[in-house]
Amino acid sequence: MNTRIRNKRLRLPILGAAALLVAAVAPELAPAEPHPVTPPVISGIAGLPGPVAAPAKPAARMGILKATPDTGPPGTPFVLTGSGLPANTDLDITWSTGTKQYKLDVVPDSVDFYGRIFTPMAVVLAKGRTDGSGNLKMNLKFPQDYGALHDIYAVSDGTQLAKGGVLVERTYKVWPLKGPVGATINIKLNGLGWLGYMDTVGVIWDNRYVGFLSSVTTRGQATATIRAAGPPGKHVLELVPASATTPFLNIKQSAVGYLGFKRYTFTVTKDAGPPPTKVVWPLDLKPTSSERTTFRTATVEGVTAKASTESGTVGSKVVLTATGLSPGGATIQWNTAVGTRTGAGYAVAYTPLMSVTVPASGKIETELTVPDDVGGWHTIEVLQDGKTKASVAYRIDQSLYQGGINGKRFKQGDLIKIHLKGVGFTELDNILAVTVDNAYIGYVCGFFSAGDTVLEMVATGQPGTHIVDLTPTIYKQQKGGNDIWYGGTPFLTYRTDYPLLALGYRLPAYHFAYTIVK
Amino acid sequence: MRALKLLVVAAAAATALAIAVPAPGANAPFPMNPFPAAEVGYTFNLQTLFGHGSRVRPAVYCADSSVFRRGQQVVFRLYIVDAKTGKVLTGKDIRRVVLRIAGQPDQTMPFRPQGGNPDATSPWLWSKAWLVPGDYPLGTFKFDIAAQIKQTKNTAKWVVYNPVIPGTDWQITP
Repeated sequence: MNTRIRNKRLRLPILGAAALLVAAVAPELAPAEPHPVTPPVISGIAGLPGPVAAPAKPAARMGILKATPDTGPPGTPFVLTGSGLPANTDLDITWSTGTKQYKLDVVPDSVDFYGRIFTPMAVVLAKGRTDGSGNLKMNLKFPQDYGALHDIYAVSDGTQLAKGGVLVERTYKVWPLKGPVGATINIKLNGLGWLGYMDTVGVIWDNRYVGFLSSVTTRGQATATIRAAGPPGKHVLELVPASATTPFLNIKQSAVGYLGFKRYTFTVTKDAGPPPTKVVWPLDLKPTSSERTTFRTATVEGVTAKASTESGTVGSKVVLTATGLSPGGATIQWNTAVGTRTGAGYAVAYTPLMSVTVPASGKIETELTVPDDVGGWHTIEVLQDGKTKASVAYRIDQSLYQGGINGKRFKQGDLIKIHLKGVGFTELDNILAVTVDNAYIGYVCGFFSAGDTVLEMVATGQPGTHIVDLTPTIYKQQKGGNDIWYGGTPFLTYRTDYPLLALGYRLPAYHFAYTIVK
Repeated sequence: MRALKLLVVAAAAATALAIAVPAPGANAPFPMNPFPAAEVGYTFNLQTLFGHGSRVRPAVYCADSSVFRRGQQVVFRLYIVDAKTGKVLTGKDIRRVVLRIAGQPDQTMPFRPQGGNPDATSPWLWSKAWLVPGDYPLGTFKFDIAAQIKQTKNTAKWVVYNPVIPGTDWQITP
């Protein structure tokens, strides 16, 4: 393997020491700056609730608008009234809101996470007109939007003449509320806010932390599933506002106590034995960014190259076709990342996959085996005379190794092994968070082990069925935000609101179960 | 809360109208660098506190806050400094200070000792308490403070403190 340190931070001083002597930072691999990433379009997720309003300034003497009612979930009808306004005047009724995006830095050997960026703005919710006495009365609805507090202004000629405000309350839907051990429980939230304490909700099961839901890019809507755990009987499920992904347990005493929380009772009806292992993938969304780790677009003019598939799992086959090459020898090379975040550092690396002979036609068509390597975006390159002639982006998706779990029945004290392949190397796909019986216990990482990821745990607990869930999550957040998210805990909304969805990644969650026997 | 941090900061006020402060980014660090700033004649140094007249009990009375619930009492108190001379102005220098809250009648702020009990240690401040009505609009809370500063025995001028700093507004909550 040929390793080149391509990162300006020189994070791999030991591993790359020898190769560094011949490595120059290639211009096409220069790290980008952290920047907001446009989220993918998801069916059913609303956009801004109106056209962006022109900037407006407060009037020297501002009046007030009354909203009746002024509290309710999205869609709530309300009457907006005002008085003392200029007579017979057209008004824009504006709604204070904003857009929220993830901030990422895509570099050759990582995607670094810089948190969430909120851009406040006002949109025109409706247009109105005062009567001859300067009164205003309009029938409106709370739009489908982020929840929490929103300001409403009556604006004329760039001046905010009067101000109102409403509280868009969050709604909760959880179903079913009874089922056997391992039953899927759906959670659907709406009206989550846009600030740090408002766009994240922690899930608690029998006083155990399960993970968190977010609605950063889904404008207040969040959907996720968890599974029923524990012996038959009643269990408590709580949905609690979370700040840094962890539940804020006494939210009622905070300055945002009005956010509230929700508590359900779930009845585990029976223990029907361990349900089958299940891998749940995110929605199939169209990426919004073409940025790729390890990717370089060095294809020479007149040369074309494509892979038969965009992605595959470790050990699967892909056919690489290239045309326009020079007759003679060529090398197929695999670009990846190696190293560790535990101290020594990491960098881009290059591995020859095979040598081929290009015929007089200049075309090659060769089948490759996807390497047993870290997951995520890589590059397959065709080199001739030591120069890159063509490059193709290719993604390794995660997969179960030999069924994923080493059994279904264990005695207390037995060793349980869960084995995955293709776990990634960026800050957003190098680890998975682990819960056992809905209790968060930690994470597993696949970077230093080239994507090979083994969770070993000792069988404990009472006889009966137990569940283990592995969920995508962020490794850590870089500096650069007031709304810090702690890394490493289960990101339950990974299917719709995960930062890497915009970059074309597909990270699954894994659901295992086993029975402890006497 | 970011806004809270503003409360005890000298509320730099323009001699006329609102402060021209660039809108901070969503993740602008605090304290924001106020320089370069417009040249001002006077600074308003304002606190907003939980008042004892609150009908919805706060956790701590007289504590600074930028978030008030309906039914809580907001105590506004401030002193004003001549930015050119550094003099802390008194009732001899200022004819009148008016608190102007959106949708509410103007309220004159008396100049009196803190706590209402004059003694050797009580600072004198302009202050006014306001009970947030039960139907007052939720969300951002708009107000300004106008001071009529004596220039001569017979003339005076108005200067206005308008705390318009995006992202750091006071809030009214349910």
